[in-house]
Amino acid sequence: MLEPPKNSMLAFTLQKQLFYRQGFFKLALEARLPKFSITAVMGDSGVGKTSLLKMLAGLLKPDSGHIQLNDAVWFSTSQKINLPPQKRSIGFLFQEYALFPNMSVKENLRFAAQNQKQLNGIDELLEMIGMTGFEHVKPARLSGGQQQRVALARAIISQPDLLLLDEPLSALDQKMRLRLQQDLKLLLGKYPTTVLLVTHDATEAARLATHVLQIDQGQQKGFGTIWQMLGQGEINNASIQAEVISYQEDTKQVQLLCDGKLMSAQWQQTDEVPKIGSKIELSQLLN
Amino acid sequence: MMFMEISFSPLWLSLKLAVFTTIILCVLGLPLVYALHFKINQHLLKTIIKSLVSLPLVLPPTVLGYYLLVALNPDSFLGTIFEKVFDIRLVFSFSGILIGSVIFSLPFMVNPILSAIEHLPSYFKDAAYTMGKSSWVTFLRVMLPNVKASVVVGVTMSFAHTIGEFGVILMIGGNIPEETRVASIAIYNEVEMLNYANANIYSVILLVFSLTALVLINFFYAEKNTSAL
Repeated sequence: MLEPPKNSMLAFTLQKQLFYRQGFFKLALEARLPKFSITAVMGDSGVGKTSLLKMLAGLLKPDSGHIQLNDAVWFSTSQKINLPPQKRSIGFLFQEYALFPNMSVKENLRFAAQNQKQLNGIDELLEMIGMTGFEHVKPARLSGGQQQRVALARAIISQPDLLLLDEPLSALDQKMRLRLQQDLKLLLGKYPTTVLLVTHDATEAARLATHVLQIDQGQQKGFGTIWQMLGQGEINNASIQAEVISYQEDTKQVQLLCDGKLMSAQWQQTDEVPKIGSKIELSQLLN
Repeated sequence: MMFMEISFSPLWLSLKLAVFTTIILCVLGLPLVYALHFKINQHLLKTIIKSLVSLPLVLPPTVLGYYLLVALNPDSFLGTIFEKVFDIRLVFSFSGILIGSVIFSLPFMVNPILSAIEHLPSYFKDAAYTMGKSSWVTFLRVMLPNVKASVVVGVTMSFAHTIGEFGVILMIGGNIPEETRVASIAIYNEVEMLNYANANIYSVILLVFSLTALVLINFFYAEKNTSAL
């Protein structure tokens, strides 16, 4: 049986036979996610990323394995334990948003709230995601980005121990992505929790995640911190363009993503501050 | 003038039968849809129950009526119990035709709602489960409100179909004025007595009613197809 280390929040080993276009393949994954870590689950379509989230949520039964959150066993083939989704403390953001069309924005959040305290927090939560004034609007009348923000708030309102986000940004344009990434950071600052985030996008992973779980054809290619997984970038071609991921004003450290690799550099220019999401030439860092 | 010559009792009886049948079908039908969707996972069992529910759609009403007559007559097990314990006679009575109507209209209530529920995207159910909601709460608060149009269709169809019922009622209820002579039976009765004018009035009323019901149903279906869901 898997023994999670002391600082570990969620530990799992999972096996499941899955079917995709090319036929059957076996999904085999194992990881220990530290408390409050944000893990980007990366890999091509149909490699089992959504299946992993569904197995953790209890919506899909693994063939064998073990899922444990702190001391609580959620699933274990050896102990014959399989908690239903209702008994696992989770928030799930579905790719399709899955807002209930019959309920208004506020009713969707009310439905997800588990107690009076959470009910009282709805207005504050709506304010944080900039949806004040939309309380009584039905989801069908909202834009994709607005729906996704409400779905995110709905997933986090119950303050779950584990937040599962299935490609939360894939359907949004660049501007909405930046907005939702900010909202997500803001919400996680207020309601810290352990997060698994399915994404195709290295930029998104670099911006949001602390860890990366890389999957290829159901097999785990690697699991580690974001720097272990993406951070082998070196500045060897100064004319190459890189995207600004974050900037620390006090230390003047800028983090960049270049060709799928993460790198950190000292920001030299004093007259301007790098804009998050903008592209810069690496030569700008070398003078 | 001709209008005054007909008895209104068959029309009231049809209406009463349809109202009672629809109410009973709501009480029985919705839990049945819930059970079929959430609780019965075994494929063969589910198929058998669905087939039994749909059987009245293909079975001649006289066959269903015959078996009900056999099952509910005063000498039968059920008939004896009802007569001895509740003092209710199940054949050639309003109670009898009510039981027949409920069974006969069951697919009209269950099938549209079940079909709509089964076509809802699975993430509605999944989302509600991850919020800690039971399957019953998920059914009542998430799934049923999102198939409202099909519930309206189920209710209207059950009601309209009961109004138009003939064979089962004649078999199990006969043709007793004020008790089992509903409008459709009254038409048959008037024609037998060569009162074509009266038959005509009942027929026109049923025709207008049925057409209105169908227009309503189609209106709701059109509404549903243009909605966001």
